[in-house]
Amino acid sequence: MQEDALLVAKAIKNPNAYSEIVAKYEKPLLRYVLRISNVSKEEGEDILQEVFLKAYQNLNDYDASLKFSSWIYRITHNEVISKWRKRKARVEAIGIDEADATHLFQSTFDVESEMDSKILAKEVNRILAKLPEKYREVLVLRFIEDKDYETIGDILRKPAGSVATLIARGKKQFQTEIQKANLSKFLIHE
Amino acid sequence: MSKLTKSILAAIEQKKITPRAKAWFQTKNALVWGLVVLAIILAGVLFAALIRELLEAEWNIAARYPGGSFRFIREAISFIWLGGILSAFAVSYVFFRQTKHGYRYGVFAVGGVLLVTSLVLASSLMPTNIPEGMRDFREKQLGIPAFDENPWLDPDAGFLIGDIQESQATLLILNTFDNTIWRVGIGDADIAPMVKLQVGEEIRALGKKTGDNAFEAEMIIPGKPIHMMHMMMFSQGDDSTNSERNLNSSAYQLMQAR
Repeated sequence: MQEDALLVAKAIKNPNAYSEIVAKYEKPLLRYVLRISNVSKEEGEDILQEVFLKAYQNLNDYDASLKFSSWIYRITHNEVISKWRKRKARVEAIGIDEADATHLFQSTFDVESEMDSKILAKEVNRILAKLPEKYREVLVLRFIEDKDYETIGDILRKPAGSVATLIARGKKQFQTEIQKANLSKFLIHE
Repeated sequence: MSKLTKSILAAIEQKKITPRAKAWFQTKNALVWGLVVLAIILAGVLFAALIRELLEAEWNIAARYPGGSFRFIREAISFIWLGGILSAFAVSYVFFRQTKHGYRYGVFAVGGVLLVTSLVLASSLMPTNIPEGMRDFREKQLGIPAFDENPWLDPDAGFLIGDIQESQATLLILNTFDNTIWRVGIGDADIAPMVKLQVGEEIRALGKKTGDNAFEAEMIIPGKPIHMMHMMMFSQGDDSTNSERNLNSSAYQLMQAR
């Protein structure tokens, strides 16, 4: 956290020092953008460019009591939401890969799965895309990005209690959809 | 250096983007906090006005009010102030959420703090002229009449209010606020100690209508609400506690008897 605060202080004085921040967060943020939206990698990079330019303009607003990652994830979240709203398009699928899908599937049911990971990824993508945006995002942040409740609260600007409620409801709805799709038969209860 | 990093640095250079000054964010934060505080102050002022009007309402006639106690409560509550308080809370909450860490607190926690803060502020405003000023504003600027006089213009329900036109030993000629002349028998009426049966005095009579523009009083009390009389006397250094207590007690007994 202190390291990020130093990087920010450096970048405010010298734009070239900003490259260190971009280099550090480029990959995780691109993964995050693809996980919560249905954009291509190129579109994801365009979104990220906007994110990093906005973050640069607002460096003086960064609150050192927050993790820098929470702050930049928040800007990314807002940018993705803004893109969706501009497009007014319904999300048909999202960019969850096989490993993410398996991880989410097993984490929400807290058991192992014996399903083909490609089919699972396809189904999980379809089901997540069907979920309301508020649930999809907390599930991705909690079970795929492995963020804790407080960090998710900082990213989405919500109290930790509301985050817990959203996660519980999102998880329940996800499980219901999994059962409707008849995928729960692939779970192995150890 | 990645392709993205290069393009970002190039964009920063080309578009001459610089980080916004710290003072810009500090001013923005101060404005947001200022709006939160203003909304709380507004809620406090409106609470003070609402509480004063509730205190001034004639709660001892609530049970006999046409339509019953529920209607009395509904009419005694000033919805314009209540609406204003809720709007001020909403504005305050929305702006509080915009502060740096405001989002970390739930709606009930923030609502509770807003309620307590504005009530504390309201209680500190109660002894000032602000609640009266708000009442005047409501009546004169918004054109919404005060509630406390309305039930007394209902002779059928046993309430009458007006100015004394003529005073005799057992009869008063009363000009009510709707400019109607009433003959009010006071032969058997209890007359409150602070009432002066003089021409021009404003009085209230509890009793029953006995005919067209004829009324038999069982109790005569001052035209102004009891606590206002008390305040007026108190401000003049007069100890009216006992007389007020007696009056309230007899008014209550009369209500009970009915």
